[in-house]
Amino acid sequence: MTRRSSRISQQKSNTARTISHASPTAATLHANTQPLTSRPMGSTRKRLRTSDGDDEDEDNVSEYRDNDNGGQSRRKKKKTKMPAEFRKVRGKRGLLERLAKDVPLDIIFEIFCYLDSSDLINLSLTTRDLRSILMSKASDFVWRSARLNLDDLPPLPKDLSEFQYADFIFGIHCHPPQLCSRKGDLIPTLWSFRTRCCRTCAVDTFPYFLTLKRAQPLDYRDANILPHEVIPGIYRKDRKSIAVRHIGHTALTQQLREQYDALKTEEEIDVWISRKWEEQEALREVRPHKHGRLCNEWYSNMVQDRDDKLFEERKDAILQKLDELGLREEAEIIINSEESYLFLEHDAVNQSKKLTVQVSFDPAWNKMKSDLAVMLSEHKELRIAGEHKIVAVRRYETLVELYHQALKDSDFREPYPLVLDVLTDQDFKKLIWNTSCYDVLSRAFLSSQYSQLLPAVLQRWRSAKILELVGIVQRKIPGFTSSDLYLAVTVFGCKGCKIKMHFPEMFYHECCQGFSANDDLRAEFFRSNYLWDLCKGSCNLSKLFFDRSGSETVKLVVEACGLDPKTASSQDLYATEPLIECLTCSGRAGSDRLFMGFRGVLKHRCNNGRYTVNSFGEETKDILSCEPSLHGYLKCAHCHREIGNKATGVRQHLENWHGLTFENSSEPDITEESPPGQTLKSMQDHWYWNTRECEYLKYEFSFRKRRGITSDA
Amino acid sequence: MIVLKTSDNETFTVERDVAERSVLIKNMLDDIGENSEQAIPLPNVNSSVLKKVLEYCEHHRGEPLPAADADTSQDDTRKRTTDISEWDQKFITVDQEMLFEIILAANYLDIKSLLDVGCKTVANMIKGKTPEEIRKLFNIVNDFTPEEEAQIKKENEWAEDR
Repeated sequence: MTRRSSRISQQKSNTARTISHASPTAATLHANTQPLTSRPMGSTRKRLRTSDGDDEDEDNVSEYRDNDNGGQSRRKKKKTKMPAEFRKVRGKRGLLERLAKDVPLDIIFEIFCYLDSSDLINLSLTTRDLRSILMSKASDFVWRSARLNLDDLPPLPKDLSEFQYADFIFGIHCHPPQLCSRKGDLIPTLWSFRTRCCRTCAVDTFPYFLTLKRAQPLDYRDANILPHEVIPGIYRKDRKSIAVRHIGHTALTQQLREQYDALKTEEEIDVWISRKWEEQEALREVRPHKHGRLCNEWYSNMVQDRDDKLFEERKDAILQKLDELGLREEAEIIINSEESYLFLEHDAVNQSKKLTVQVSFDPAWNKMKSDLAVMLSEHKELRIAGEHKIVAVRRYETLVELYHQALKDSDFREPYPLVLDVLTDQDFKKLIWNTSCYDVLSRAFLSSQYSQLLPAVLQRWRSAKILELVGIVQRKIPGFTSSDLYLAVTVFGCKGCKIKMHFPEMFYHECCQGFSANDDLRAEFFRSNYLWDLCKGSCNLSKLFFDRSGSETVKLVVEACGLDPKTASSQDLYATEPLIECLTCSGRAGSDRLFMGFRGVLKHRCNNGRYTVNSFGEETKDILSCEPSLHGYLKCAHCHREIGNKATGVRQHLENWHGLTFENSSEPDITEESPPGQTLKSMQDHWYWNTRECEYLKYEFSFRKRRGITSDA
Repeated sequence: MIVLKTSDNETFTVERDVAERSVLIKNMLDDIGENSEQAIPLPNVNSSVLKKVLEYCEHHRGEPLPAADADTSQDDTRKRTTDISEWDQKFITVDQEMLFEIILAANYLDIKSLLDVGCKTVANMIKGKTPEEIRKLFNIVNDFTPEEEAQIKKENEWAEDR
C-alpha cells in the first residue's frame, strides 16, 4: 500500500530548500551527527519491510531501498547486539511502531508536523527506527515545522541545524566533555560555547573568563572577540549562596591564539582582529548573546507555562475524582478561600504532572485519595463549625437585643433570669445551634421564637431557683415554704459581701452571678463573645444563707411600723416608708446623723447597730428633705416602667398613663414633694420595688443629715 | 448509488456524494462512468474499517473537498494546530488498532480530512510525553543499547573546531 499524495509531495521540495539553506558549518555539524541509521532523502516508501517477529534481523541490520535505483543501493550498519532484556517484545506491536514500520513515510511526517521540537526530541529517544527517521536529512522539514509550531521561539541561528537547535533548547542531558550524563540541575544553555551542561561540569570545565583573558596577547584581549558566558548564581536562604561566575572557553580561545600566532605582520593582525570582530558581529547578527538569552527566557517561560498547564490539568483531574467522592465542593471552597494553599499546595495536587489513574487498581491514587479525603473532611468539619459559630454569634446578638428590649417592660416582682440563664436554656440552645447555619433566621422570626419560648423558660428557671432558695432556708427553718420567701422577715445574707437582702434581690446581686464548672461549652462560647454585656454569668445561689440576725433586725422594724411580722411582706414594709436612724453611727463624735429607709437597714454595714424607727417627730420633715431622689427605684405594676421613688412621681404616672385617680390621704403631708396627704402606701398596689435596678446601681439607701441643720436653714 | 466491495467480500451500497469524499473512488467512478453497476473493489480496506470510514463520509457529506493543491497554496511557515472538532473527536475515539486501520484506509482512499484527523489524533497522543511514556502508550520496546544511548547523548556536542 504505497502512496505518496500530491499535497505531501510538496514537502520534498521544502526539505530540499531547507537543506540547501543550511550553513556550511551546520552542514558539517550535521555530517558529524550521523543518525544511527540513515535513509536517502526524499524517498517515499523506501524501507525494506521486515517480517513481524524477525527481531534478530531488525536488531542487526537496517536496510533502506531507494525506489529510484531499483533497490540496488543498500547500506548496512553493523550494530552491537542488543541485550536480551531489551529484545523482549511485550505483546503486540503498538500503533506507533506499526506506523514507523508499515506506513509510508509521508504519513509519519504528516503526524510529526503536528508536534513540536520537544516531542520530536522525545520521539527520537524511543526507538532506533524513529530515531533513524527523525535524524535523517529528509526530516529536516519536520524539525522546521516542529520549531514553527512553537510560538515566539527565537529564530534558528545560522550555524545550527534544526535538530541541534531543538536539542539545545529541549535536551536534558549534560553534554561532554565529562559526559556526566546528569539529568536535571542543568544551567541554561551556554549559547556562545554551543554547549549545555550541568553546573558542576560547567564549573569544572570552563575557566574564569578574566583569567583566560589575561593570558591572551594584548593585541586582542580587549577586542571583544573572546567567547564569554555566565553561570548564573544561586541565592540560598539557609546555606551559602553561589556567586555568578564569568567563564571563558579554553579550546575556542586557543584556536584564536593559534590563528593569532600564525600571523606575521601587524597589518595581518589588524586584518585578523577586524575579521574576527566581524565574525563576532556576524554572530551578533544572529545575536548569540541576545539570542541565547532570549532562548533561555523562552524556555523558562515555556516550562513555566507547561508546568502551570499540567498543574491545572492535574488539579482538574483530581477535582473530577473528588466529585465522585462527594468532596469536590469542599475542595472548591478551599480553592476560593484564603486557605487555598491547603489544597493547591497539597503534596498530591501540587505537582506538574498529569494524574494517572488506572481503572481497576491504583495504589497511587488510593493513597492520594485517602490523604485528600482526610484533609477535606477535616476542613469541612472545621469550616461548618466555624460557619455555625459565626451564625450563632449573629443569632446570639439578636437574641441578646431582644432580651434587653423585653427587660425594660418585664415584671421584676418575681425572679427574672439573667441573659445567660435564658439563652443557655435547652430551647434556646436548640434554636441557636440545632438550626442549620445555612438557614437565615430573621430578626422577626427570632423575636417571635423568643416570645414563644420565654414563658416556658421562665417557668422552668423560676421553679428551680425558688426551690433552691427554699432549700437554703429550710436548713434553718424546717417547714419553710416558697410563699414565705415574700415575707419581710425572710432575709438572706451573702457570704461574699455580707450584704443582707430580700427575695428576689439575690437574682440580681453581683455575688450571685458567675460561671460555674457546670456550664457547657456553649455557655463558655457565649461568655467569650458577650463579656461586654452586663451579664457576668448565670445565676448562682451557692453563696446565700438564711440571715437570722438580719431577720430579727427587720422584725423589729416591721413591728415598729405596726405590721405583723408573720404576714407582712417586704412590699408592705416598704410601703410604710419607715425612717430609720442608726444610733451607733450617729453617736460617733463629730459625725453626721445617719438615716435610712427600710432598704438601708439591709444594706447598712455596722457592727452592733442600734436603730430607732419613725420616732423623729417634727424633725422628720427636715430629715426627709435630705434624702436623695433616686431614679429607677420603683416600677409601675401595670406597665413596669420606672417611676422614681417619690409618691408624687408615682401618682403622676398612674394618672397620666393609666387614668387612675386617688383620694387624698388622711395622713399628714410628710414632705413638700408629696401631693396633699398622698403616700406610697396609698398606692401600694400600683408600684413595686425595682430590685434589679437597685442591685445593679448599688444604691446605698442611706443618707446623712448634719447636726443642727434644718431645711429652713 | 454506488456499491463498494471490501477485502473480506462485504458490499456497501452508498450514495455517490458520500463515496466521492474519497478521491480514489471519485477518480475510479470518473474512469468507469456513471452507469456502471459494477461493485468497486477496495482490496486494502476491510468491512469494519470501511463502515467506520463511511460513517465519517456520511457525516461530512456536502462539505467542500480540499483543493488538490491545497498544501502548496498554504504558507509552510504556518503553525499546525491539532484541534479536532467535537464530532470528529468522538468519531476517532477508537482503539489503536482501529485508529491505525483508519489512517491507512484514509491514506489509501485519499480522504484528506480523515487522514488529518487520524494524524492529529496520533500527534495528540504523543504530545508532552516522555520517551518512556511514548513507549508505554504505543507498546514499543527500547531497542537502544547502552552504547547507543551514550552516543545519542554525545550527538549534539558542538564541534570544538568551530
